[in-house]
Amino acid sequence: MGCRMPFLGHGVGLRTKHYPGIWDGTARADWFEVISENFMIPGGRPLAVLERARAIAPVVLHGVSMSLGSADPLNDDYLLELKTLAARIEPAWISDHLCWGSIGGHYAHDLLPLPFTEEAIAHVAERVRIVQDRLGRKILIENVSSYLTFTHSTMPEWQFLAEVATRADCGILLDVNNVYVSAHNHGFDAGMYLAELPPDRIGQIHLAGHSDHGTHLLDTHDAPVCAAVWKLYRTALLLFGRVSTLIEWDDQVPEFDELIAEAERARAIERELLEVSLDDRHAVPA
Amino acid sequence: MIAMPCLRDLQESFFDAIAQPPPETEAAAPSALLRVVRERPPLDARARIAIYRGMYRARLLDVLRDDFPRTATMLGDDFLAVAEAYLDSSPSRHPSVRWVGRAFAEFLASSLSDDRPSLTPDLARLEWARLEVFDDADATPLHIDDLRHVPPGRWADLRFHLIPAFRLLECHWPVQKIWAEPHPTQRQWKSRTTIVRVWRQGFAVYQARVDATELLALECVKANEPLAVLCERIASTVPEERAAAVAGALVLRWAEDGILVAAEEPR
Repeated sequence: MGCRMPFLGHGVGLRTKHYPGIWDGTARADWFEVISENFMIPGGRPLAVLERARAIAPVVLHGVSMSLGSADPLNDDYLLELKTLAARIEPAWISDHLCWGSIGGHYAHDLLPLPFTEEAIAHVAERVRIVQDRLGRKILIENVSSYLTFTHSTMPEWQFLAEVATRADCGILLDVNNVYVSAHNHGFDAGMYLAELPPDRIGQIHLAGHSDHGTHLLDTHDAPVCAAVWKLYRTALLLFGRVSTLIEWDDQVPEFDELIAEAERARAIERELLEVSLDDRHAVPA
Repeated sequence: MIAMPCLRDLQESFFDAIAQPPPETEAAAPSALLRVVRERPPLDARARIAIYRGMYRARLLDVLRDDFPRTATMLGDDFLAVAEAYLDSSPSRHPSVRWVGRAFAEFLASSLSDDRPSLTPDLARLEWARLEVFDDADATPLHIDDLRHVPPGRWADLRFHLIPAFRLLECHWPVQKIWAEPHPTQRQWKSRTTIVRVWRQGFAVYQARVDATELLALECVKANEPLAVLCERIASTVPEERAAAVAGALVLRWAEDGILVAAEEPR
């Protein structure tokens, strides 16, 4: 079984700076991705803007705090709030990260790395299955950028990601920039990473910018997508075909037009490689 | 052979390593974690953990600075140390970073020192109240036209609720003025008991000082008392013959501010 999602086109992450454009209808994109936790609130402007965005285009809920890899129990309140938000917004899908971010009831508000072990696979896959059961839908899990790995890992990251997705029967949100950043930081082959993933589980692609700190790359989402990541995106498209693609930009967020220009660049690459006609843009793959 | 940690042990030592204050000595570093972090030039295990520690600190300090901009201004160079001490004492317990600053005002109040402006806890409370009402639950406020259609004989029985996006703060400083002052550190402020109401109208957040009469009246509304009782209560602060007019003026002002919800349908 696979977990391909409907093809939504080339979207952008919706951030506070662009709320006015959403509100007056001038900010348009194929689709929007929002950080789920920012909208798990009672009311006010953020939710009103989100509903306006949803009226314009499909919306995907992308979480950062599900903490799928944590040794703590799943947070029931969090899942209930997420389910309530999903019922209100009717997102195209829901995603979160293959990582942990909380332990002992404390939240780091970061995407922390897991050891690539059988213990972690069994643990995370079981939790993804529970989450999917509670939410009543398949989710996508995203590979994270990392700055350390563990000596007791028994397999490469791509094998870990593929195995969790397969056992949990969930989709993969492939962050091409994260693959590039981690490949640089840990010295593995980014192309091999992509080639080893199960194509029928790739439901979405993330593209973003990062920063070079000399000794390591940092996943900062504060710059345009760099040439090397665009190149890796080409590889991903050739391997996985047409996949909904999103530009993430979280810090030093540019004007909306610049975001859209990045999304259009992704679209142009897709057309060039896959010869997709304009009319086919919103078709849903079999 | 080194025993490998289970997932929980690994995550607990990892979290301690990034959330606790940086170790002052090599010996204080988390050796159990260091043993299982792979070293790869140019970064050793300690440097790799330090990347995560730096991100943890930077992210949460940014959140506090964004959520409490005027408090940060008032604290000046002291802000960083105070905010770090707060994060050390109150690690986040909520999945949303939105709640990281929930206890910051209380922390400031409990850790006041002579070299720190004693108005900062009140200022932080005001900033937190503004954040809370910003995304509090929506409600359809009572419109002033709704009141115009109420027959005079029914006014005494009217009851109201306050919208969810409303807070009443009792402060020791005129925080609404301090908040609005472009250069608050350049003025000398005098301590004065000040009641402030904070509310959201549409998407905008407002604040205003509340005098003794309005405070009494708001307490009646919160207690779901009818307008007749509200008039009786405020008669202790205004001449009795003016109580009804003052109460009416307050209700009209609240309706203009959008803070009232009809407890029962005005007829």
